[in-house]
Amino acid sequence: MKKYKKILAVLLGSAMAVSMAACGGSGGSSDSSSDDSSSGDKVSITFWHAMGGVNGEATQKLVDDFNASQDEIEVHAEYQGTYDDTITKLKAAMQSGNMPDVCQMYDVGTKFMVDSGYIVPVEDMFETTGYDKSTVMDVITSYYSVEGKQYSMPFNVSTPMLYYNKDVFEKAGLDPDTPPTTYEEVMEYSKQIVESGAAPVGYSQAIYGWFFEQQLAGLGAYYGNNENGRAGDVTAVEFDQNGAGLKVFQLWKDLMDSGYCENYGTTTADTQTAFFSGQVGMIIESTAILKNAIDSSSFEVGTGYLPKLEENPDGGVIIGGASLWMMDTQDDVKKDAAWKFIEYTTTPEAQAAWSMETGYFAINPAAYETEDMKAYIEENPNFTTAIDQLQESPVNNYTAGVLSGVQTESRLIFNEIIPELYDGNITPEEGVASLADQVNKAIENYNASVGK
Amino acid sequence: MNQRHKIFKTIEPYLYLVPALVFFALFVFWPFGKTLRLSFAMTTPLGEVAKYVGIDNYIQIFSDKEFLKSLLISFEFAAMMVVFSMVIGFVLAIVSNEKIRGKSLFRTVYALPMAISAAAASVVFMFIFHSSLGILNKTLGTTIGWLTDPKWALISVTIVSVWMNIGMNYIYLTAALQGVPQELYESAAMEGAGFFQKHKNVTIPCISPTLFFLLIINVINALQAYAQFKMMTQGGPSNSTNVIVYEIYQEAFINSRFGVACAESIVLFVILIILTALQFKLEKKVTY
Repeated sequence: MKKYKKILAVLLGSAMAVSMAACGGSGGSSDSSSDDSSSGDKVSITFWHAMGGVNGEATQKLVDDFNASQDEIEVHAEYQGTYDDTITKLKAAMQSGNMPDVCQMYDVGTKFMVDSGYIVPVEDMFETTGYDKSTVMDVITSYYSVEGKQYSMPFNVSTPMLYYNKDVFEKAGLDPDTPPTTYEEVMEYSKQIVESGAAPVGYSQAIYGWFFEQQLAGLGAYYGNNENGRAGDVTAVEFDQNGAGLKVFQLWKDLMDSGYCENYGTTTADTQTAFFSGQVGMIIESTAILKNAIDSSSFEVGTGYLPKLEENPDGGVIIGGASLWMMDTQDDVKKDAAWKFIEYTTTPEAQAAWSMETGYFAINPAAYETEDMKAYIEENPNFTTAIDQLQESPVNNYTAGVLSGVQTESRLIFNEIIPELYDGNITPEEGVASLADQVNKAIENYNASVGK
Repeated sequence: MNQRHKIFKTIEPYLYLVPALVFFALFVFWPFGKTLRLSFAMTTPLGEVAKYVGIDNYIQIFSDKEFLKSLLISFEFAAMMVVFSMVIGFVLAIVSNEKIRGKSLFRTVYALPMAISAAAASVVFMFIFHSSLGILNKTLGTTIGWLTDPKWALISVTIVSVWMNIGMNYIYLTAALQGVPQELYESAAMEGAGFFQKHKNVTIPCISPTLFFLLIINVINALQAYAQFKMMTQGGPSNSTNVIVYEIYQEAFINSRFGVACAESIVLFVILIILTALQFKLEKKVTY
């Protein structure tokens, strides 16, 4: 009998050991990184980011520069995949208590982060460290501020702008140095481009909810109520009430119906490729693709402000991109280290290098006063378009953008409605009503789930 | 002692199952139980239970037109997938099983798509399908938005999926064809059977176990397809390619409604169980 008990014990024991080893897999890496910190007397912190490719290399360089600049803190940068992957992994990490010390999060994840309860607002660090809040342009910090408090530090910042093909403009008999400034002009120019045979397609915009939000901000209108969620939680959308949503939907429909525009779907890269290959005269896209656009196109790329639907003194562009968040790891030493790293990323030198390597803005205006940056802009005048456009944008709650916990979903709902509009299955009025209805349901559900 | 020995004899077989059971419990039963529990809850954006809502999630998904539509799209996709990949795989297997030159070359070529990852294939086909730059429209002289037109998107994704799936069908069917006894073909030939008669009366009955196995595998594969939809259409345009697995992914990881997503997973699970049971029943009846 004893013998059998032994066998049973061995069997059970081995099964448990194997399964425990399987569970321990993910914890292993964090153990080893904390070993590093004790051995070298350095504080070791982890930094999660979503920058791949060229931008990923620039991020790694920024981290290496920081590590080399001092000998107290060692930052370990870990690439987590796309923004969506990062937020998914962070959710899991919050539950298991394995959070990074600093995490990059995209603009629409802001509300989720604020509501999560696992973060430290960066503004809490300003007073104790004597950091000057005005280091970063306030039109940028306003996106990441809730009720006047700055929650995270902008990192990679972009806005949409107009890209156009200068060669096509010349062939079509248009002035290659004056891009259209209104959508009316966009329509006229498109007609001329197509009819002169300079390019098969005049203008195109990817089906992307971000553009809708930008066009609303351009009209000086709110997306959500309570001043875009800046004066209180968004409880319903407002674009269906203030008429701006309909104006924008009508625009999308008119552009498509003109016959001079083409739809390349919801994958923004497909619209970009069509433009880079000379098939399309003009597109609107993020400033973040500027470097890529110049490198990928065989023609001369021109840039202009995001076209306007109507003149409006309150209208402007919303900043997009991502920011750096300090996670509440309950460890003051690590939190201090995390803040020092975040502070470093806002220095003029770090920002100048980051901007030149990626095409994102330098969030610190002083970066544009550095010699390297001055010389760079001299050679690449397109980089100034984005800067000027942002500086001319008024700082208000229209251009701060909507702060909502369901904005990722709202954009997807938008993506599903626009093709119906293009196909003529629904009118612009129905489209706006349907979008508002679905987004309102999502908001209601979100607010209930977070107990508001 | 003898009595004890008897008791041990009865429990002994179960002891051997313990290690496997521990694994199943940990990686299958426990997650399944959690899915079932979450399907009755409203969840926070973090995926924790906010409150239990009974069968509300089920009521919600069954009264949601989008969910029912996504079920329908999944079945449409599965039907097209199964028919085309099995028929094409079968034809290719028969053809390359004949005594022809360069047989092994054909075999390699036909089986090759199996070695390509769904993501890589999707990227290549996205270039092919691009409405202004793609080779497909250039060749046909058309301007169809293969992936951007709701009428075409599901067909386009199906074409890619069938292409990826042919390799597996081809390999299994080729192996099965080689197991068909030559004597049967010889006697069929003696009785004057032609090419089609030979395959209808000899080949298909002989390889029917493989055909049934493939039917089950193909249906399950098709209903679980995800990568090509994520890469090529993200469920769009206008939800025309929003298959159930993508719908579940979207609810859970983009919209953070884990409760609803879990309810949808349970529905998919029930559907797969029923289909598999049906197919096993049929198989017993039809197989030689």
